[in-house]
Amino acid sequence: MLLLSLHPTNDIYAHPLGLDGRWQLSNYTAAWRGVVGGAPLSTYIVNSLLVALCSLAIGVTCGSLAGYGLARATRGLSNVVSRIMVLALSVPLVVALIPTFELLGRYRLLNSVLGVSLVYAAFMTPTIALIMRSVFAAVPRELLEAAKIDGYGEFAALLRVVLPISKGGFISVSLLGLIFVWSEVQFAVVLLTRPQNRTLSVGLLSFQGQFVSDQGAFFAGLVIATFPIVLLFLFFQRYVTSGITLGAIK
Amino acid sequence: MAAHGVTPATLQRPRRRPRTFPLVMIAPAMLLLALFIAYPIAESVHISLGSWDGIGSVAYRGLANYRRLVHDSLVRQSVVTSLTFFLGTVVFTVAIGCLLANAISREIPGARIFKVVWFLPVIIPVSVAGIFWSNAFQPTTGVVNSVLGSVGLGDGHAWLASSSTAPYATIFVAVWTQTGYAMLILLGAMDTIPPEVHEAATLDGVGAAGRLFRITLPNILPMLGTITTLMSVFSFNAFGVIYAMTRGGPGNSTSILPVLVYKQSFLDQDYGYGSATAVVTTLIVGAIGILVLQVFRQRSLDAR
Repeated sequence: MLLLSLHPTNDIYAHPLGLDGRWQLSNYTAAWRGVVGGAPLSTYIVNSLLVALCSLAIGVTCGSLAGYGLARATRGLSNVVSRIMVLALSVPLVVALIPTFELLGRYRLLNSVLGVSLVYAAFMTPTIALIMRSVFAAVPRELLEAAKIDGYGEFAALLRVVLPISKGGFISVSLLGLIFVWSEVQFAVVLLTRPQNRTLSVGLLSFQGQFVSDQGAFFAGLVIATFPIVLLFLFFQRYVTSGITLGAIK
Repeated sequence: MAAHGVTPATLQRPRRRPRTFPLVMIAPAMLLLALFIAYPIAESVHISLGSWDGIGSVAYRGLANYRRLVHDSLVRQSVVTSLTFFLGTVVFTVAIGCLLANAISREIPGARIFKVVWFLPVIIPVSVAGIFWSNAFQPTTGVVNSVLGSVGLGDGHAWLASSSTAPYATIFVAVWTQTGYAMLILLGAMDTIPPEVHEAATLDGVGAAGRLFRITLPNILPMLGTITTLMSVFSFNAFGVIYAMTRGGPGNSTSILPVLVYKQSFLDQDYGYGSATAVVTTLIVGAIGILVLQVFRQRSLDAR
């Protein structure tokens, strides 16, 4: 019961505030403009958006190309590569932490959108590839044969025939990738050390001390951080749930 | 087609393509995995065999880090914390996820709404969940204590300040953030069981609990194995939950292995030692993964 009552985010956050009437706007502007751990909340949000866009661009491209390759490969190749993907999924992130810090440091990619995005893209690729394999495998072979007869090469067939009918799959994997990036803390803490480069998930961590006296702004900040992703989920929830189910069934 | 000029050569090409084409498609992903997953694992082993202060090159010191690790009480405590955290989160996540999924699996009214609401904590950024709950666990201002106080269980518990309760608080939050995921995957598996099976059992007088244990669970056993493995891996990646709630404290009481690795490397600048701990963590995760798969494979065979 407690669990259920706590689920709708806005309710949890609204409850302790609901007592006085003029909380809303002032809290939100305070949280938005307030400098938290060296940078305003808005900076963290922009950084998170940039990292999300960049890592999704790389991860979805590589992952879905691989997914298409897996769907079209011979059984043997497909099995071997899928095994590798599953193995990559089960690697604890922490083992990559120090070497990634070293690697990105060597190429001056610490505190950069590209650096952290490459890492996120790599870790989302196996999931995307496995889900997209199922999506692409559902494309009727006849369509590909027809495309071939129409004179399309493999790549043209992928672009013009397969991609348009797999739109749902792309929405699914993009949302799953976004949820991962929006939440990720471990790499972000290590790879983004300057306040002005931090993503939302790390920036928020300095939130606790900052707004001790101002609980209203504190909760308003949490709502601002949560609102966009929850809204997207509610809007596209069917895609998120179908993506997860597809990925698990294999 | 004629416009493209069909020659015997182009007719030959499609036969060769299916072999190389998938490889070309898979290559970029493999490159990314090699660079950011495979190479780091190898490099972790390399760094763990020496000392490195973050700059310059690694000075080879053999197994020194590993020898030190065996005698380090912090590491030992962390292993115990990790295993408790792993057991607690996996058991509760899978069990509660299973019950929730079972409750809404046969299209009861409002099933879709429950599904969405129960999944919401998975969407909420881990930092937000961690910060929100650590706030809720505060002694005087927290929601948890005011609820407990109102039912007469006392409202003065300092959940996160005591090393005996803090680990359970972190397990609770980790379960809260992951249960929706388990629910969703198990729901997918339950929906593949033909409804007639349940109807027949109901006619034979089998109750809801009987149907859960004798029909649903045996049928979703492979998926239970999958989700248990997934949740095990998640529990060793739960850096965010812990870091947001307690930073691993009080003391070292909530430092699961990834948090300890972070402290050793990025706070103490002892990257060689941190890497050794990270490598050991990976071995533990691997062992648990194999164990879980083995248990479920055995059960699946028995069920047949």
